[in-house]
Amino acid sequence: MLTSKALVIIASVIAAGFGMSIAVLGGTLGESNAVSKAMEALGRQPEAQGSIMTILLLGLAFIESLVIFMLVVALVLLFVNPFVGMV
Amino acid sequence: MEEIAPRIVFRILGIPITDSVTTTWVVMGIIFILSWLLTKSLSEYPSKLQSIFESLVEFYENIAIQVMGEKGRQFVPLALSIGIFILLSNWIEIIPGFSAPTRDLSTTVALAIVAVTSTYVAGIREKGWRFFKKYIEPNPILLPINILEELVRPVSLSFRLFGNIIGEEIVIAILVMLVPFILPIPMMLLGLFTGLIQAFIFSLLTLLYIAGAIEE
Repeated sequence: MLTSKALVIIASVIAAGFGMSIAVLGGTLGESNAVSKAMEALGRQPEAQGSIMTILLLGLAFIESLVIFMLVVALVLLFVNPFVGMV
Repeated sequence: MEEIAPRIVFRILGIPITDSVTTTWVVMGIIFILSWLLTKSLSEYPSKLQSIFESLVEFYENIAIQVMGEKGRQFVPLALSIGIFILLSNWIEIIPGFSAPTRDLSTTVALAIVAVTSTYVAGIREKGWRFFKKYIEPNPILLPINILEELVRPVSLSFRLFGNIIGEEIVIAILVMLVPFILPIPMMLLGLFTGLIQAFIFSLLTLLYIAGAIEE
């Protein structure tokens, strides 16, 4: 028979893995879109390479930071779970 | 978990001193010695090291002038020192025995508070009381959303840096646990690249936030 603490742990692990995969999926779609558009712009105007690369890297870091937020939430759930102590 | 949390090295008068604080001291020492050595013998015909750092400063000055005109030059020292500090903090974990101070949330929150406070200081110095007018523009109804936007800035700045560094560190730790030889090295090189990009992003965002605060 599962104790309530075991249930909380199972729920946390599933939530961390599931949430991380969805966050990575969204981030990947956004980043691939950004990179493909940047490649198109680069093909059209090769002389603007410097500013395109700077804006691309900046945008990629912004998109990635949202995935990183999910990573932080997942780390909290896995390592310093506040709900395990409650039950 | 014990590997992730900063560990307490010693206590001063009951205040715990973690290893991220002591590593920060080492980074400060490196920056201090580096800048002392560099500025000791500045010459008009620069040596290799001097020309590297001159081109770095020039790069940031070009960005600052691009986003806020000639008056952006005065904010270059702030952004560049934040950038160099973060870069060295990220890279010092390549030395065995050190761990990056930026994987401690306290360090990144402190840096983000410095960056965000400097935008208010710059904006109020530039525009006076008119600085607060931008919160009720274009419509006073948007006041809560504008305030929320201001509150999100330091959170996103600090969590971005913290999450990137600690995520990379956990990946390396898991790889070392599985295959202790050779395999973690490409991941470490990727980590060096991530550290460089994050340092650049942090200092660039500082400049952009200041530009947003002082624009007319």
